[in-house]
Amino acid sequence: MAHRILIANRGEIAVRIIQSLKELEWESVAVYSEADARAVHVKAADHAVCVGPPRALDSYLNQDRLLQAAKESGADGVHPGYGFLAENAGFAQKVLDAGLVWVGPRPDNISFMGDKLAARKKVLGAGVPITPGSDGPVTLDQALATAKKIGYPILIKAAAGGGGKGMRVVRSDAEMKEALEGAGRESASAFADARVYIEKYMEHPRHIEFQILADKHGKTLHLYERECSVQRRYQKIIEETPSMALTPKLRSAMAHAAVEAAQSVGYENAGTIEFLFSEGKFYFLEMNTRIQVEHPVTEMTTGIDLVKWQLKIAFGEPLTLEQDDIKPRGHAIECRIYAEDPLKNFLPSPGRIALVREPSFSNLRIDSGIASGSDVPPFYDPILSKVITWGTDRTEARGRMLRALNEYVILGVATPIPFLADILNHPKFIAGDYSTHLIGDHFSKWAPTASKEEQALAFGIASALFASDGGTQRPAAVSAGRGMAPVWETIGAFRHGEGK
Amino acid sequence: MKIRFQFAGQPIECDLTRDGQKHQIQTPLGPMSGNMNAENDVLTVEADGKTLKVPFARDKEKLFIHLNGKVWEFTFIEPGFGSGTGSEKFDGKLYPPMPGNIVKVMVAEGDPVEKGQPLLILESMKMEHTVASPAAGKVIKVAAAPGMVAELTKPLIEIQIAE
Repeated sequence: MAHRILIANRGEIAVRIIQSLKELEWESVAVYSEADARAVHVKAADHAVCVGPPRALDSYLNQDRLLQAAKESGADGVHPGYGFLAENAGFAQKVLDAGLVWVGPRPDNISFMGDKLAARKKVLGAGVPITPGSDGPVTLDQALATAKKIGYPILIKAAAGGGGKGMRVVRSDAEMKEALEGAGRESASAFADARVYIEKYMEHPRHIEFQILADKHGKTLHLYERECSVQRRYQKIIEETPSMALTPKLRSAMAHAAVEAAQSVGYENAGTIEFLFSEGKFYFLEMNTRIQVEHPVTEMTTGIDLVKWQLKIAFGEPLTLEQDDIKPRGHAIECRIYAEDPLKNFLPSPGRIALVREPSFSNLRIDSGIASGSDVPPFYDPILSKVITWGTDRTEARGRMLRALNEYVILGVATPIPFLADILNHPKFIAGDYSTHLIGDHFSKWAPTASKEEQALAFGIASALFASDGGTQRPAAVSAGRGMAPVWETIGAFRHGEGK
Repeated sequence: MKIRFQFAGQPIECDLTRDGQKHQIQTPLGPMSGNMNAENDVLTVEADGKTLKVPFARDKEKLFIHLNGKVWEFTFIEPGFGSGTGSEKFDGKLYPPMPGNIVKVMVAEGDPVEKGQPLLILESMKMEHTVASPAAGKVIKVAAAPGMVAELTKPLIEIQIAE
C-alpha cells in the first residue's frame, strides 16, 4: 500500500528520504520554514507545508505545528531525518498518539539510548565495555571531583547529546567552570536539556561505528562498520568503510557487541552503535537512534537502501535479509560539504549560493540540498551536501573522491572542499593511520596553496571579468549570480503552478 | 585600464589591455596573457597553450572563480573610492564575523580590554563562537545584548584603541 510520509527535516537528508519514498512509490510531504520557501527539498517533494518562521524553535522544532501539518497533508507517517526532533522521544510519542507511524525506533528506545548515562549503564550490563566517567550529570563540584578521580584531560558531554554539540575538552580545574557553562548552554539550545556528564578523554582514539537494522519481529542485523575518525570541532567530516584499523577478529567482536547493545534495549529500526577504539581495545560511546549523516558509505558497499528499510520496518515489514546476505564489497568514502570556512576555524558561512555545479561520473553519489541561487540561512546546521565515492579498493575510492572534489563547484559561500582534498592527500590518511586528532595535529595551520603563476592567472581572470562589466553588475553583465536567479525562479513558479 | 580589487584583505591593482578576446594583464605577481571569453557562468581561458574552463559567479561587488579545485573570492574596488588600502584595518568598530544570535556579553561600556580578550559569545548554526577583541583599548559602546540577532552590517561593540 502506498503511504504518505511527512519529513520533519530540511536540506540534503530531506531530499535523500524523498528518493527512497520515490523508489517505494510512496508520497512525500516536505515541511519548510519561511527562510526555506525556495529550498531544494521543498521542490523535490510531492507536497509541501510551511511550518513557521525561520528560527528552528518556531518551525522545524515546533512539534504541534508539525503534527498539524501531518494531519492537514493527510500523511500517515513521519520521518524525522537526523538532528532536529530525530532523537526526541516525546515527539515520537506524540506522533504515535496522533495515530501516525513514527519512522524510527520506539520512543522508549530513543529515551533510553538518548540518555547517554542510562545507555552506558545498560550496555555495561550486557557485557559491552565503556569509557571511565561520571555515573550521572554533574555540578561544578562533582565535575571537579570526577576529574580528580579519573584524571585530566576529561571530556564534558551533553547527556542528551550527539553531533558534537555541547562538548568540551577540559585539561585543568581552572578551565572547568566556563567549559561547563558553555556546554550546558549549547546543550540546552540544541537538545532542550542542559545536563552534562564527564568521560575520560582519550588522547588518540579512533571513532568506529556499526550500523544496525532491527525489525519489529525480533531480528537484529549489523551492516558492518564506518570509520569516522576524521573530525573537526568533534564533528565528523570524512567517513569511510571498511576501517583500516580492524582485523577480521576485532571486526567480528565489535559487530557482536553492537548487536548485543541494540538487543539489550529491544531496539527497533535503523541505529548506530558508536565505539571509541584505542590501542586495540574498543569502548561503547553511545547509540544514535536515527539515520546517520554518513549512512551512504554503508549503502555503497552493501547495496542496501537503509532509508527504505527504515520505512518498511516502521510499517511492520520483517527484514527479509539474513546476516550472511550482507556482504560488503569494495571501499566507500564520504566527504561532508558544510558552509564553513576552514581558514576561519570552520566558522559557519551562511549566505547566498551563486553557483553550484556537481561532478557526475560512475561510482559517485552526491546527496545535496542546494542548487544555484539557494540561500544558506544562519538558523540551521550548515551541512550543504555529501560526496560519496566507491571503488573496488580504497585507492580507487580515494582517487575518485579527489576527482569529485576537484570538479565540485560551489560559489558564494565558503566550503572546506580544498581542505578535504588536502586531507585525502595526507600521508597519514593515505596509510589509513589516523585518529580523531588528524586535523588538530596536522592541519591546524592549514591554508590553501597556490603558485605565483596560478595567482597571476587568477588575478588576470578577475581583472578581465571585472573589466567586462565595469566592476559593478550592470544588467547586461555576464553574471551568474544575477543572471541565473530569474530563470531559476521561473522554473520554480512553473512547478508550483502544476497544482499537485 | 587599471582594475583594482581586494583579494584576501589585500588591495590588488592590475593593468589590463584588451583587443576583443585577447587580454594582456600586468598583475603584481607578473604578466598574464591569453584569450578569454565568458559565456553564461563559465569563462574559457586559452593561455600558455592550454584551455581552461573557469566557472565564475558575481554577487554585488564580489566575484568568485573556481580554478584548479579552489575558489577565489575577489571584491571590486570602485575607481576613486577610498584609498584602496587598509579597509580591513580595525578602526574600533567590531562587527560580527557572521550573522547569529548573541548569547552572552562579557564586557560593559568603560571596561578596559586586552587584545584577544573574549568580548561576547555568538551562536550561529547551533555552534557557539567567542568574539575576541582585535586590539587593546577601552570599550566605549556596547550595542549587543543577549538574545539579540547580530547583523553583519551593524557594529556590536566599539573600542577606543589604545595608542
